[in-house]
Amino acid sequence: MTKLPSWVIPLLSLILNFVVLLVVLSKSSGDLLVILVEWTVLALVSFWGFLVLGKMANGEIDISTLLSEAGGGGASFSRFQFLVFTFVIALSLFLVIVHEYKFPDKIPPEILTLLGISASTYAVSKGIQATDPAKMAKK
Amino acid sequence: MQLLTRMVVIEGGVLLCGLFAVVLYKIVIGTISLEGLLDTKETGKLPRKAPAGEPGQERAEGPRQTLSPARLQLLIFTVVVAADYLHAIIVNPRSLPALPQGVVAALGGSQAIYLGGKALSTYIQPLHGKNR
Repeated sequence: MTKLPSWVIPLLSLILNFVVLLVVLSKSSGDLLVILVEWTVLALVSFWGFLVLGKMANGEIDISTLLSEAGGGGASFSRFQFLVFTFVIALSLFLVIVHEYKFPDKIPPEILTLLGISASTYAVSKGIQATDPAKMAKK
Repeated sequence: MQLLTRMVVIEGGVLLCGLFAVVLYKIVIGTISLEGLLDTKETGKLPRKAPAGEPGQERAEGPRQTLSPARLQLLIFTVVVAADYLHAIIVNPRSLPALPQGVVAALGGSQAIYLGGKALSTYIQPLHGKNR
């Protein structure tokens, strides 16, 4: 199966956004400049987003070491946990915004604590690895 | 609903789900490796299987990987907390639910056990091995 070039979907999204913009502009009686800026920003953000996503899917942006530590040693649990929490909180935030059509008034401090604990664990874990006496003796 | 808002929601949703799907797909097919996720990474001498009739010898220094209970309990805590949070947000998507203080404390304790185990295997166990 041939791979779809990574620029195809971003280009389609760009064309779709500008077609919708033209339809909106032809029917709208509001401030044309505001509408033009809003849709252009959406088109550009989605273009770059889909381009990055396409390159990640194609392997042009290498994410194979996303969970690995530099210098080998297998997958890092801290990175894995950070990934899981980031996904869960990003998805939760998206669901709230879709449901309410506004950014939440308040981010619960427990969520920030959770991410903070996770990030601190990663930092301390890196500190332990960096000061490993066995590795330092080899240097 | 305004057309612009609808487009933002659709494109944002596709981008977010696409990102999750790419990462999950790469984990499933093995491009993003999870090998050694639950193993301790200790340095030390590895016992080598001795050929028949020969005494056991030790292989050169290298990482010795064994299942780590500290990592296992942290994995269980992480999955349970993440699943519980997702369930809470699906049931009531009006606002971000607050996590009970007890859960945060338990996760903090779990992380402390993991880091304690890591520090023990990095600093204390090599000293213990040298003294023997």
